[in-house]
Amino acid sequence: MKFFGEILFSIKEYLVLTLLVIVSLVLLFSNDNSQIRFIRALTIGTFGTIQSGFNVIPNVFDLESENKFLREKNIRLANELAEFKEAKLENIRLTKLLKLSQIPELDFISARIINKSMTHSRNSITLDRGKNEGIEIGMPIVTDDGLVGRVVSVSNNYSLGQILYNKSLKVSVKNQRSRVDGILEYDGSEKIMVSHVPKSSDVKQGDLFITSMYSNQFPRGIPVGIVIEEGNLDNMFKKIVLKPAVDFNLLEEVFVLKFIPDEERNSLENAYSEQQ
Amino acid sequence: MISEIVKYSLVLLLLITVQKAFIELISISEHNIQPDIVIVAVVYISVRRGQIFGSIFGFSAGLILDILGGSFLGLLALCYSISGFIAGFFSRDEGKYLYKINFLYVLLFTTAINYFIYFMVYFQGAPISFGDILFKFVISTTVYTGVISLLYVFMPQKTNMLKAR
Repeated sequence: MKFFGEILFSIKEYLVLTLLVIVSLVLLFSNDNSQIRFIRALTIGTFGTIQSGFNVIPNVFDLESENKFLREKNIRLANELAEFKEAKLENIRLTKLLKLSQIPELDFISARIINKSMTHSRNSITLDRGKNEGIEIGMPIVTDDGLVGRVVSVSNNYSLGQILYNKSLKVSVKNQRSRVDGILEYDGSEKIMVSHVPKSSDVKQGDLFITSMYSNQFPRGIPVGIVIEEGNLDNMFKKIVLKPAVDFNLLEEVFVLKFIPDEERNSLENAYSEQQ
Repeated sequence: MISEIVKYSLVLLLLITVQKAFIELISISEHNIQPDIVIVAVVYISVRRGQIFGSIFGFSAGLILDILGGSFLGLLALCYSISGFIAGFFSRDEGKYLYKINFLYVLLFTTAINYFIYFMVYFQGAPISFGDILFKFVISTTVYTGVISLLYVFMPQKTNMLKAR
């Protein structure tokens, strides 16, 4: 017994490392566990409080350029608003004619970004709004320019969002002009790409991709990005690279849409997939 | 012993806060390069206190960064545990590797292994070549971390905490 104990003592470093590696691997394989989500939400809440404390310090160097940018954008938006009002009236008339059902107007929550990570795996944003304001996991995050990402974790006063530059996020998208469908995904390095698009599809540089009506994660019609590179990936599929509609480097304010994925639809589709 | 554990824990928490809140300001976002100041502390603790301390503190720091990161939970915990263990090998030489350039060698070696494991797992299945992972991510992150750690490595002797050893 003593001999056995001596052996164990002599390899104690390796035993500790083995234990830690096993715990890490268990965590890696149970990433979507509800207990882990709870711990994550709790930690983000605590850390968010610290970050929001530092966030009150304004960046005076950016204020002048930001004001100029906002004034210009305001003028542009005022013009666009007038055009949109006309377009909406026209749309109502045409919709009535075609007897199409209208998309329900979505409510939203405005939020400020208190932490933003744009390198490696830290491609996420922390928002200063949480459960208390009605934010829930799965809600889409947008700006007036387009899609930003979706909420993956929520505490009472803060929430964490995956952005388009996150390998875990995949979005069902559609080419606004040619109505070609595809799956938007981040390749992990620098590019946002649309995959599963057949080689013969009609896609050109400058085309806008929007969220698809087939997506249960996002409402349809949100701008996602513009095609900047288009070619052949292999014998079957196209290689399409997008420039996101949102400039993630300038992102400061976002809106969280009160849009929850339809669980019944998810369950039905998942059950069918499992049967196949 | 307990006071030392508390001291190391506080230093790690402080560095994790700085890493998450401020390091973005000095990151080269154009090329996705960001220094890792937490691993400097993990390597220091490992070289000073050995493999068990290093592995446990590495695991804890990695786990907190994983939770705050919003990506694969457990990946940084795994890499930092292994890094703490590897750096702990250098604790057997009576503190020789705690000083100046020797510490830098250990740090660079450990950081390279840490990020090699990390990015190989992270980019699993992604359309990116091995060379790109190695040069664009592993080596660039290691070198930038090494450059940032020079602030510590070449800290004047009077204020260098290592001298207290």
